[in-house]
Amino acid sequence: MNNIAIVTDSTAYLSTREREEHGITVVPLTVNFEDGFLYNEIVNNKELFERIGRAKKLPFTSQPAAGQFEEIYGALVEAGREVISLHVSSGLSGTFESAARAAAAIAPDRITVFDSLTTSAPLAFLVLAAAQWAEEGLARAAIAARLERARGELGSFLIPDTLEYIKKGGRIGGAQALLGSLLQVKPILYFASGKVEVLAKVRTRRKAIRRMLAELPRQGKNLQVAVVHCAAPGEAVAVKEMILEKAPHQAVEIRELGPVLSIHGGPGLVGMGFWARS
Amino acid sequence: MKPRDKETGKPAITAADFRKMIVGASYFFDREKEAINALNVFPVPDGDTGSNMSMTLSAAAEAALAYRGETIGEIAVKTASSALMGARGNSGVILSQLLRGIARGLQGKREAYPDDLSKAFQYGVVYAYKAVSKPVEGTILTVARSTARSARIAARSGAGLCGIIERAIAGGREALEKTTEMLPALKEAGVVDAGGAGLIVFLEGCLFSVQHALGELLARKKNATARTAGIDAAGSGAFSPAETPDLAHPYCTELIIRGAVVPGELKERLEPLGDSLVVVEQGDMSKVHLHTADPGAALSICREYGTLHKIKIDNMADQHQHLLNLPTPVETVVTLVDSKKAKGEEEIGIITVSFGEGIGELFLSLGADEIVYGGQTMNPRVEDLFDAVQRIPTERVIIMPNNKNIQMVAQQVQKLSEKEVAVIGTATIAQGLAALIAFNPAEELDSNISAMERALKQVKSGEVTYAIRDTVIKGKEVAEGSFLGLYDGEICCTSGELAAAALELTAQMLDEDDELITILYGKEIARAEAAALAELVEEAHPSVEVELKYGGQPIYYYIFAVE
Repeated sequence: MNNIAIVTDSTAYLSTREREEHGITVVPLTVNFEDGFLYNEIVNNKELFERIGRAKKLPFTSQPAAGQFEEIYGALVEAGREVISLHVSSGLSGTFESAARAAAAIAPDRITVFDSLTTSAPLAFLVLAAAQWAEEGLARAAIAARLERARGELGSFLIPDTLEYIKKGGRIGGAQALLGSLLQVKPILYFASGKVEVLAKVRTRRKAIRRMLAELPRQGKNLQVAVVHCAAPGEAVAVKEMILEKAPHQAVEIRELGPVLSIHGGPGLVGMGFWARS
Repeated sequence: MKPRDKETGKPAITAADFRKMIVGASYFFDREKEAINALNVFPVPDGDTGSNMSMTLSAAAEAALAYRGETIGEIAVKTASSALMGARGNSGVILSQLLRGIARGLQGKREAYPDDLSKAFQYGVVYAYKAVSKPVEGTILTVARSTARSARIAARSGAGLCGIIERAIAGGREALEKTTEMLPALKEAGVVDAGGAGLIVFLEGCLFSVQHALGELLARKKNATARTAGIDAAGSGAFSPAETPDLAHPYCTELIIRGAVVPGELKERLEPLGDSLVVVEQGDMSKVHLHTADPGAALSICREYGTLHKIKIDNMADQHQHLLNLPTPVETVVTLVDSKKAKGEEEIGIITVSFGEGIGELFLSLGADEIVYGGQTMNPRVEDLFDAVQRIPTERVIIMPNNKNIQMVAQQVQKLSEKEVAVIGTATIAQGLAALIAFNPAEELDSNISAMERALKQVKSGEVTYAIRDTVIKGKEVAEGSFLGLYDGEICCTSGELAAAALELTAQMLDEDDELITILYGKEIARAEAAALAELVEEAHPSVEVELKYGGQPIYYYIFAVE
């Protein structure tokens, strides 16, 4: 076993296999319903939206407490390991703050807390790469430097099907201007410096998807691409097909978002994450 | 005793002569405008050339009347800038540029001589051509060039003021007759260019004014010149009866109501009190405009709906007296401001020209800051758009004219304002909506302009309206009153039935790649009728999503936007 442990949060939506294969620790964010019902990331979206349909108010999400991170970091450090902890953008969640506070309290010289400035598939790309670099025996500082560079090579785009969830979630500053529209408008959102901003607005979903795909870098062997979706598997496959039309030899993963991001993006969301590795 | 030209001995042309010509021509023109309106090639209701030029001239005449000095250079400059501010429609803008060029030619002169006048004509032509981004021959420009050439020849041969204008008219008429052959649309309709005809009528008015007393002008029959000059449109035999200022409703009453107004109900109650009624509602503010004999009764009714603000009552009889019965435009352009948000100086302001309260609300919801309600038959003046630009707190402003005939008016504002003003080439409401959706406040002006220009090209525009006269378009006979489908500005189908015309138009517009058709129904269409049409469109094109909204626009029963 290598000496560096990788920690992330549930918004990377790693598969069980990915977690187990690399021994990655996942700290859950939670979805809280008004009646006290609480989801971590284990349920599926179908169940989630059924419950939302029955609830009077939309649930809210909460970040892990610093105490949760202290427990995890404490145990790992005690076992003699160093930690690299990668998290959802600080522009969207207080998770990074909690983790950083816990690291400072436990062992600042042995723990690197990294703000990914993104989430979902691109965060997963970074987490898996960090795990691999650790397995290859790279030192913590070297991995941190590589992550730093990689962060500028990520792209993350989202097309919500409805603006209702964004409106209620209130996380998307630049999208505020969209909300009063009396006509159907499909925005293409993207991550800029850790925040979600509006790339463009069009009237129809197909145009939105075409506009998003125009942002995909030219195919190359160092391009990693994932289609993300929220309860829209059919659409995700269609987007993958469109990517393959443009880049026939490109490997394209499909990753579904879990409850925490789903209640901000809403059902029907499709998106694209990539890493154009240098 | 007037000074005389040293060489030719011809008398000087003074500021008083200039005033007499412009004021007289304005009045003269007003009595000929219907004949020019009738030259409209397209048999659909739109901003009429005659009315637009007439209103532009009346703005010029106002300044000429107000001028108290004795310097021809000065009165020409004042007249031209007032004409520019009052310019409506493309033809109005070109006329104002002719006057601007003439002012440029007379600048600095206390009085002018025939040679100066003919040079001023040349300047006028240069300015007029400069105002048009892609000058087309067979239009007012061709006629203007020909008048200037004839004026120059006349001046060289020693003609005086009347002689120059007479020759200019003769040369212009010759060119005007040829316009029919120069543009296919004119040829098909069998008419001469309306703007060119307007220029001739303007010069006739100038000539008449220097040769006759004002009283003789007033006694003239309507459209006398236009008819004798052969500026008669095909099938335009019936001119409307003489229009007199409506002194049955002399009080122009304007106010703002703050409170919960039910626009339909308020309109119904105010309508019996007079005419020219406009009620525009936005949030808790409504603007009311009415010509009435009883402003008190109107105020009492309005008071029931909320508090009254910015009350303005003018006796239009005074205005008429004051302006020596100059034709005053009675059509009003109403501006609506989105009061909910105040933009910072560094942001980009958006002004859009629109008609119909529903469409106005759509524009506001998509982020427009000011709506200038002009519309199809009521083109806003340069000044209306200029005021809107100056009012907006931002330093950078985008104007969307949403009409081809408002494009040049908007471009003049670009030149007048010290702000950075961009004009987007939106020619229809559908294009305006598409362009506004593409606007991104986070982006710079330049990238927004290109995104908006791109977006407007990706939408197909359709309108259903009616024919205002019998005509033949592309070999098809169109009967007055029948319904017309316009597809990207071209007449593509006609029918005696509204629904049939609407369905045929959508069938022509939609193809298999299209995803969405937005239907905006006009103020004469009931919601249920529009919903029924939407259902028919959906049935005929199952793969296309239909979005139905109330537009409230006059003239166009339906507006379609296809993406």
